[in-house]
Amino acid sequence: MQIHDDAPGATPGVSEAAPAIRVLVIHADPAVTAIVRKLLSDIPSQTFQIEAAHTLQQGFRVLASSHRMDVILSDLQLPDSRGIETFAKIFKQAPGVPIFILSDAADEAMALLVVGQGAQDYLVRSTLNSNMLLRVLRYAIERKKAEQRLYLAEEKYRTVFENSPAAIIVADGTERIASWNLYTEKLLGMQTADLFLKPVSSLYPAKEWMRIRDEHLRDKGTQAHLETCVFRKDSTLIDVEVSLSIVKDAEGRVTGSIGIMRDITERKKLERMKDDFISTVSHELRTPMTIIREGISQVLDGILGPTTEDMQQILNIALEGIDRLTRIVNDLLDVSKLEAGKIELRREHLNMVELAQHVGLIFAPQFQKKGIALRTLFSAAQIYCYADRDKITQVLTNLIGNSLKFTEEGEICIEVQEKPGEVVVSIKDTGRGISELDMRNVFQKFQQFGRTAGPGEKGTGLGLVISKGLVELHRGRIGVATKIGVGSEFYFSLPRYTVREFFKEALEGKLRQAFSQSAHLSMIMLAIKDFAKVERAVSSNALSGLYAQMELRIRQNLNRKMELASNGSDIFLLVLPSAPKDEALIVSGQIRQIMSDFIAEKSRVEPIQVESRVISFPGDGETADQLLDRLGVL
Amino acid sequence: MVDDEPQIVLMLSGRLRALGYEVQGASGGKEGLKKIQEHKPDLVLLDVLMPAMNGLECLTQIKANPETSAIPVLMVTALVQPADVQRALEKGAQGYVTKPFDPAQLASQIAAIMP
Repeated sequence: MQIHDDAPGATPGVSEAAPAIRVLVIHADPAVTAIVRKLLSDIPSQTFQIEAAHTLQQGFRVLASSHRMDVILSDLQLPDSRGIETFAKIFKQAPGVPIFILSDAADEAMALLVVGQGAQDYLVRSTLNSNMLLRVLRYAIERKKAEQRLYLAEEKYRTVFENSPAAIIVADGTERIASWNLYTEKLLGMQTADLFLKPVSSLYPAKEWMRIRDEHLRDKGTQAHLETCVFRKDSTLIDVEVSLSIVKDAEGRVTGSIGIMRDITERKKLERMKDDFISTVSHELRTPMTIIREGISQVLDGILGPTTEDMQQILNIALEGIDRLTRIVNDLLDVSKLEAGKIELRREHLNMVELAQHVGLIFAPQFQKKGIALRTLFSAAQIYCYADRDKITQVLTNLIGNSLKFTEEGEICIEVQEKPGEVVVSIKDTGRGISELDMRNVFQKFQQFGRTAGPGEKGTGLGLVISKGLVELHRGRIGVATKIGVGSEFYFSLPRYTVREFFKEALEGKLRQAFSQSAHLSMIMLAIKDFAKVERAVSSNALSGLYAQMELRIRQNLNRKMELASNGSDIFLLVLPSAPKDEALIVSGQIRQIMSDFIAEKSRVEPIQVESRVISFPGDGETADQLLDRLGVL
Repeated sequence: MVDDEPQIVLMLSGRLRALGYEVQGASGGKEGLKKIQEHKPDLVLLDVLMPAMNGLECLTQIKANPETSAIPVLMVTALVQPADVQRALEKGAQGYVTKPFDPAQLASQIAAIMP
């Protein structure tokens, strides 16, 4: 059939399922509606749903009550509206809906006028036939199909969005909540009024929000994943895992962000239970362990009477066992604290060369006993790191101890090297090496690989896990390279900080506190002028201790709470919690005096100039970056 | 020696007696304070974690009383948190040993403190 062949865009799949096209006919004469109905029903490839109205008001009621119309056919002369006005009113009432004028008589002028104002076409009643109607409605039909396709596609995404078992929150460029899915309302117990256009920051505790903001700045990328907590409507906090991504436009401007949150309350609860359990058990074990150890040692020490050699041998084995148990309990507690994020670093500028030598020296008797040479290789006499002395000692002790345990002959070399952006410490042995299979589990809990009992302390299987945790806490890396029968090399790196990164870290913790307590915070930056001159005048030995001594001097002379950080040379940063700016200015004057006196005393050159700058939170800025910019730290 | 575990008191007393010290035991903070008042010992070994009155409270009271404030106190603790140790030292303890301890280490600590 001709009309059928002529049917527009008869794409299989879509046309078959094509929904009815909704047509509104507004005409005072019911006969016209009947004609349209008849003509449209003759079109085989498409079904139509026709609504009829005899007045404009009736037409509006249909528009208001029923689904969106796909097309409107209307006369201009209606009982309650006449002429071009009729079109204008319908056009306003049904924006975007194609409107056809169905007139009793041909009127060229009017036809031009309405089409000029947005009507699709001007049809004359007497010329109506199916073919013509189908042709003029083709646009409406096409559009309906496109809409349907779009709807199906959109529906797919909308379904994913709405039914995701995670809260998805979309924010606009000004960090206000623009949209969210159903799960968000469930997770937070909130409704539209609690969410729409509210600042994203209001979801988080102040301290957490600062952390999130820092994360973004730091990553410089567009994505971040972190564990944090959010407020529910009733102000209770729940633990969540958040993935954040920044949305940018074609020019790279930030236009908004998407946050996906998953509830991890249960997991966190279990983790806390596990940590509490380990911590309690570890403590509880100590008392009986003390009793056993003391009992055995007293017999062994002969306090209770003489012992035979056989007795002593047995008691010594028992003592070794109890000491091993102690190490396991200590290591377990360390792992548990690491996993719970409960270990806080007490960092200082330390000479890694000196520390490596020191730990090597502790092992000297064991090296001697096994007949293994200890070699050291340092790229400079002083290689400074910003690290926790005790924790890095623990890592070094563990790695050297491990190498010693698995090396029967040859040498162990401790190397400290300055590399771009980091300091790398490696412990290289000529031991048996680690098999490929074991390599995969080296840093896993309770993995002791290919080990036959040799002399020396037995391990706990946790040493490398702890080392890894401690190195990563310093934002460093740890790794191993090995070759069976040739030896292994364990290495770890510690990042070198730029002055700014270093000060930023010193500042951030304090800033978070001030932020959450709405307290003041002041910073004083002190720079020693002509530092090169000071350096020349002070012997290198005195210089390495300069910072520590200066810190001591400042603390002694300034009886107040403060945090002192230094880049290890000419710049010092003093953070004064709860101090407003005027107070900090006074402190600044005192410190300049203390410092220049101290340097003059140590270097015996003419008084040294110390420059200072004071800034305060929140007056001079709210983020660490802003404040450091104001301080002029590059 | 103040410790809520009688077995610890028994064990350590044996060790300390063998080293030539005279030892009095107490099983809690209150009893400890009473005995310290009575006997004015040359040294107090004080457990940190005890029910009723814990070691830190006990330490505070020893140091607050002018009659006992001069007596050196060595904390004996299963706690390994540096913060707890720090608090004990701030409150006037002379030092601390961590359970389980090495007898030689304990003996040298005591020898260093005893006048």
